[in-house]
Amino acid sequence: MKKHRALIPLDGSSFSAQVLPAVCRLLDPSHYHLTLVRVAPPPADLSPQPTPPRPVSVDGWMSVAEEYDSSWARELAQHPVYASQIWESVRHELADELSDELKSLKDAGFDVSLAVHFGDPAEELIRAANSDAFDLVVMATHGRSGLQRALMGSVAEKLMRRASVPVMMLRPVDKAVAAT
Amino acid sequence: MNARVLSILIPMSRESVDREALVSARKLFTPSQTILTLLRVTPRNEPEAPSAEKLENWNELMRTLAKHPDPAHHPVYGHRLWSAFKRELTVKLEPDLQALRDSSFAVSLALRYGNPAEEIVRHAEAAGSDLIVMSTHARRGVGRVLEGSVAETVLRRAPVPVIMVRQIAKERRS
Repeated sequence: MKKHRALIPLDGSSFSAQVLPAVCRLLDPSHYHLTLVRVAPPPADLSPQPTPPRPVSVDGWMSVAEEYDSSWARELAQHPVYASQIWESVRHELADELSDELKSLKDAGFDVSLAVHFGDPAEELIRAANSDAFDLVVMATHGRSGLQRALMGSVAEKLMRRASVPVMMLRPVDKAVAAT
Repeated sequence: MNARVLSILIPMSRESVDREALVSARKLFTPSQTILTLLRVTPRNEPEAPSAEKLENWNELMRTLAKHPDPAHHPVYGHRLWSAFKRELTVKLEPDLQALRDSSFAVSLALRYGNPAEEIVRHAEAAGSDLIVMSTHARRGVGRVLEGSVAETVLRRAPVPVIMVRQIAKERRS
């Protein structure tokens, strides 16, 4: 039988990690493949693609030179390899931070994989959830109400409104954990 | 690991919508390790069974009748009406129950009276459910305020994890 795939977003906080005991309790390791996903803001000022140079015209002449938007863009165009390496190293760093969780879930008998995405957390998670690769998303929510909820506009809520797969919501059980 | 059986609560008050939750629960969990409880909440008060002394006192009877124009609260016929009503509620879920049993899930049916969200939470507490699976409309604006409120209230108050199944997405996919 094909295993179900569950997406578990973790943002590195103990708040998000408190879903793990519940996952072990509620999901059957023999039927679930878990994907731990970390969404981080893209490394500052670095795009994975070098910016193309734009032609510059001087006083009616056709393009005589190519300029970059910044010295950094020129640097990047000349050394695209380094830029992608920085992305890779950040990716690996973030993945390493998930290694404790990875190990505890593997010990519980789950197949686990890791993924790191760069971008806005809600958007990236919705994209991942709607990619047809997952059957379930598991995440913690603060369970706020009213004005507080409107202000916080939590990732969990956006996901709940827009994900095309079922979303398992866990509320913090322990106030002390929720506060951290 | 996971040798214990999970008790999953599925509120089934709006059949067409809530059936989505049922489909998901069926897909996501293993029959041999799961007990499903279909909960039907009806927003009326639970009627009292007519007592013998009440029936003997005709004046009392008429007063009660005047106080409760709802036939379901008629001291004599009310009870009979209610049994019929209960039967009707459960009959609608019969095909679902049978389908679940056929795929070897353990299923039970529960009926509660009162505010849907509150009763769902109360039942989850009382029955010691491990999980609630609910359908939700992904609506915005006024529709969201009116319709989504049950799911949202349950999510805020439930003592256990809640799986939200969005309906529109399902329609789009199929």
